Formats: sequence, C-alpha cells, structure tokens
Amino acid sequence: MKRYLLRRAGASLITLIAASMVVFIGVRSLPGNMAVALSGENGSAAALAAITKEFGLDKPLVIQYVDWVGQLLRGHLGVSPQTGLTVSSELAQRVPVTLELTVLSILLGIVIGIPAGIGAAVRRGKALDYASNAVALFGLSVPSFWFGILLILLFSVKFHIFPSSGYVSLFSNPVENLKDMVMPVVVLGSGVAAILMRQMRAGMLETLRSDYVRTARAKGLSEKVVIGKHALRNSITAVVTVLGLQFGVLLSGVAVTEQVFLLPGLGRLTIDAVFQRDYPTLEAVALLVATSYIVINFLVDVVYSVLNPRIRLAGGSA
Amino acid sequence: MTSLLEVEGLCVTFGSGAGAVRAVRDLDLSVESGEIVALVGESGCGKSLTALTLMRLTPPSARVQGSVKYRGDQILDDKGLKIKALRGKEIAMVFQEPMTSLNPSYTVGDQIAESIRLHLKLPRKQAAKQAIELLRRVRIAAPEQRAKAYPHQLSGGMRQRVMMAIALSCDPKLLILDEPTTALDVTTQAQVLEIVDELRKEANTGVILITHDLGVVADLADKVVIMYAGSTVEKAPVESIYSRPSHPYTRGLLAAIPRRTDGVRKRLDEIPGTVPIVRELPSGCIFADRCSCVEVDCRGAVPKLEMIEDEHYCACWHPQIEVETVSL
Ligand SMILES: Nc1ncnc2c1ncn2[C@@H]1O[C@H](COP(=O)(O)OP(=O)(O)OP(=O)(O)O)[C@@H](O)[C@H]1O
Ligand SMILES: [Mg+2]
Repeated sequence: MKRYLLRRAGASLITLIAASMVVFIGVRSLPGNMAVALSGENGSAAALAAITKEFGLDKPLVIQYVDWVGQLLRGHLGVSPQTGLTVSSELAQRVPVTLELTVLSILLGIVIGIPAGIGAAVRRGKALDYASNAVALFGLSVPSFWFGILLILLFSVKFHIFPSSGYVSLFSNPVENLKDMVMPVVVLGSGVAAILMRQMRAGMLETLRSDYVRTARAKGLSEKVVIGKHALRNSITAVVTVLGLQFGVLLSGVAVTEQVFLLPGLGRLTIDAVFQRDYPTLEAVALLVATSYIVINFLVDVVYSVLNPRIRLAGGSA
Repeated sequence: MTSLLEVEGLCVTFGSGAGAVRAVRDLDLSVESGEIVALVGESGCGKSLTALTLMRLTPPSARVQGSVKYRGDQILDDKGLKIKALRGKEIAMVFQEPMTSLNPSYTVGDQIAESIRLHLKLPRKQAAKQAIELLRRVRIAAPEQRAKAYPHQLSGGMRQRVMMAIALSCDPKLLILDEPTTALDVTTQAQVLEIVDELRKEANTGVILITHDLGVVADLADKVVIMYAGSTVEKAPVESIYSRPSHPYTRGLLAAIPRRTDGVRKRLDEIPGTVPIVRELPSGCIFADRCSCVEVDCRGAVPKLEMIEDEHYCACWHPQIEVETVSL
C-alpha cells in the first residue's frame, strides 16, 4: 500500500504543478488587463505604465510565472491591487465561509443520500424507491439559484424563520451563523444528496445481487448484517469517489449560491476579482480550489485503498 | 418416522403465461440423517436452482410451489421465516461458484469465524481459533496463515474449501453441496469427498450432493436422482442406478463416465444433441429428441415417474430393465 500511495502522491504533485501553470496562464490571458482595469478607462498613459511596471506585467509570461511561483514558495500570495490588502488576509476572511458551507452541505448530503440510497436499493420497486428517485430527480433538475430564491421567499419573506441574507461569523455568534447557513446548505446539500443517493442505490443493487451476499444470507446472518456489513462495505467505495468529486464541484461551484444568499465566501471574492482583473486574488483562489481538488482526490485514493484489500495488500507484505 | 428433509412436488417457474420457464418440475426428494443423496444431470438441468430453492435463496423472479419439510416441519412458508432460522446452523450450503462466493473485503478467517460467532455464540478469539481448526479440517495447508488471507489471495480450489469450512462451522444436520469438487484436482477432490463421508458417518449429517459426474457418486452416495431439463427422469438407490440403469439418459451418463482403466476422459457427447431450452420442450417425453431408443409413442404424452422395482423410479415409456453391469 505504501508504494501505491507514494505513487499517487507523486502523481498528485505533478498534477499540482500542471494546475498552477494552467491557472496562471488562464488568469493572465483573460481578455482585458489588470493595469487597464486599475487605472480606469480614462486613466493616463503614465499611470498605466506605472501599474504595468509595478506588477511586472511587462515581463514575458514565463518570467511572470517564475516570479509568482517564487513568491508562493516563500509563502506570499501577493497583494490585491484593488484593495491594497494582502491576498492571504482576504482569503482568511473568505475561506471559512465557503469551507463551512461546503462541509455542511456534504454532511447533509451524506446524512440524507446514503441511507436513502440503501433504502431505495433494498426496497427496489417499492414506494420508498420511487419516492427517493423522484426527490433525487427533482434535486438534480432544479437550478440551485431558483431553489434558493424559492426558499428565501418562503422562509424569510413569508415566515421570517431564517434571515434572507447576511452573514455572522461562526466564531462570533454560532447560533446566528447556523441560521444563516441553513438555507444555502439545504440548497447545496440536496444536490449532493441526490447524487449520492443514486450512486449508493446503483452500487447497492449490484452488490445485493452478488454471490457473496448470497453466502452471507446462507450463513443465517440477519438482513441487517447482510446489508450493513457485507453489502455496504463493497458498495460504498464508488460512493467515496463521487463524494470526493462532489467536494471539488462544490468548492468551485458555490459562487451562485453565495451570490443568492449574499454570503461573503470565495465565490463572491472570485466574481469581484474577475470583474477587476485582480490577478493575484484570482490566481490564489483558482490555485486554492485546484489544490483542494487534488488533495481530496488523493484522500479518496487513500480511503479507497483502505477499503479494498486488493489495493491495500498489493506490493506490500501480506 | 419423519425424514430429515422431505420435498414434494417442488416446482420453480420463471415468468408467466406462454413465456414461462418451468426450470424445476414436480421434484420429489427425501433425505435421511446420515444419508447422501446425489443430484445428477447435465449443465442447466436445474440442480443448482433446486438447491437454492431449498435454502430459499432463489432470485426474486423465481416462483416456487410445492412442499419442503424439514424434520416434518413445513419450511416453504410465505415469508421464509422458518428457513431463515435454520440457515447456516441446521442447513448449510456450499455454492457452486467458489471464485465469487466469498466477500472480497474480509479475510477468510473472519468469514468463517462470523458464522461460528453467530450460531455458537463464541467470543471473537475462540471463534478465530476454531476457524483455523476448520481450515485444517478441509485440508488447507498452513491454516494459521491462510486464515489471514483475503479471498483474492487464494486459488479457486482453496476458496471452495473455505466455503466448505463455513458450511461445516456449525455442524449442520443437512448439508447441500453444489458441485463441491469442480475446482479441485483429483487428490483434493478425494479429500473433500472423504470429509463428506466422515461427516455422514460421525455426525450423522444428511447430504445433498450435486454433481454432473456420476463417477463421483458411485462410492459415496446412497441414493441418486437423475435430472433432465428440470424433471426427474430416474431415482433409485445407488446400486440400482449402476447395475440396472433404466432410463436411456442415465445409461448415457453412465457411458460417459471416464473409465478409470483407460485414463482417457470421454465427454458427455455419448448422448447426441444438447439439453433443450426449458421453454421449448418437445411434447411427450422431454428426452425423445436425443434418445437412442425413441419410439413413435414416446412423443405422445409425458411419461410419469413410476416405480419399476423396489425404490427404483423411472420416467420412460420403455424403461430397460434387463441387467447390465457397468464396470467402473
Ligand atoms: N433468473 C432466471 N431466470 C430465468 N431462468 C433461470 C433463472 N435462473 C435459472 N434459470 C434457468 O434455470 C435452469 C437451471 O439452472 P441451474 O443453474 O439450476 O442449472 P444446473 O443444473 O445447476 O447447471 P450447472 O451444472 O451448469 O451448474 C437453467 O436452464 C436456467 O435457464
Ligand atoms: Mg449448477
């Protein structure tokens, strides 16, 4: 297993380097230019030149990249030309919001999606199966912004249960914070739940047909043990993979939901940064998302290998 | 006296109406304690399905009718609660598919111990020890190490014996073995059959032994049931089957047994043709199309299983009763 994980870690590192290049080139080749955006449409040529010089935008792209990586390695993410604040201080504000939103949504997705998927598979063709499938289809086909607006109309405007917008930090007021989070988490979590439910159901159905599940039944084990132990262990691996992917999808896809609920997370930071061609911020955010993607993928591989003895024991001493 | 297992009129059907497949038809079978009953027939004739039906592990699409009594108690009840209470403890089964019948995520030791802990209520450590003993009993070398192995690390023959160990773990009263020796070489095959014989003699276990090889059952079985396309065509004590095989199909199977003297294994193509798809059975005798002594009246009606001598049943319009010794 060690060998396998080392190989995966190496691959992750290479992916990370490649990602940093893509991020950098992608951001710098956005139509428009940071210097123009900063000096304004009618800025003087002198101001433009000064900004171009200050941020090294006149250098070749390769040199800019090397400078940027050098800066990163020394732990500096740069300064936002727009706000004059360091990008890292900005991220420190925004990341917790998005992270909380993502983690809570994933948790909600797991708590609903996995039992629903198991239930649907076990009661295949029965009411529970149809009901979960219908709900999942709804969860997947309704655009999140529309669902979000619907929730706001219902629970904020009509019933005044949850605040429609605004954000209080988890650390300053946990109760208010969770109240702020309920609706956005429901919006994002329901999508995750739908995807997990379908994956879990498909995996479970396949495992329930397998010969070793039949063996488990022949041993006289109760249906609870047959499903909860023998079948679940083997059908959960595919779900773990999907879960990892979902985490990445959420991290990069929360922008719309953050916008709908006016949460000051990474999504809004990105949108603002795009409009202002704020290269340092954009690059930092994109790299952060890419890195989390890669790290999560690696973690998925770790979990996968722990769950699967074929991988766990390959190459090791067994 | 009630039999250990008494099966009457067992039918298994897939689908309904014109497309219905009657995969097992009107099977009668009884097994006494300490008795080995062999279920013999070509591939697809419904042997495994019969076994799965007894364990109530048939696919959901199968419709089962008939009566299955275990020690006089009807276990073919509506909800299958009775058989659930017997599975693994009183009635155990070794499946035909050794490669896929073990859970890939757990060690074989754990999978054997699981059964022991469940039924004998032994603590974890003791169950693990007993699992190793069982592996030794099914003639697996270095059982201490093998117990820690995962299924993918074992050969097909070893997995089959692990399945056997699971089945033996709680001293079942009735053991169903579905081709337990297919993945094994001749020596190991003999060892496994030896265990079965031991079990019958020492623990008085009743055994249903499924095989397509009549050679295997000669020295071991007490009774033989010959199946063809879902139906029982002949049923008799083992001596009668070997000395006076009456159904042409049985005689074909016997002729196909590899003679131990020539050392060359002949295939079953002694009987021309193949088993008909159960859906497209001919009218009249189901074996008529492949039978070497078919006559016109054979195609009229289906022959019933009738007693032709004491305890010897045959479903044929023209059973051969003359003595014919098959040298083995
Ligand atoms: N799910 C199913 N749907 C329809 N027909 C089925 C199904 N399962 C089994 N059958 C039919 O039941 C028949 C009996 O199959 P079975 O597995 O019992 O054969 P077998 O005698 O064990 O053969 P083998 O020696 O190859 O193991 C087959 O002809 C098959 O077509
Ligand atoms: Mg079979």
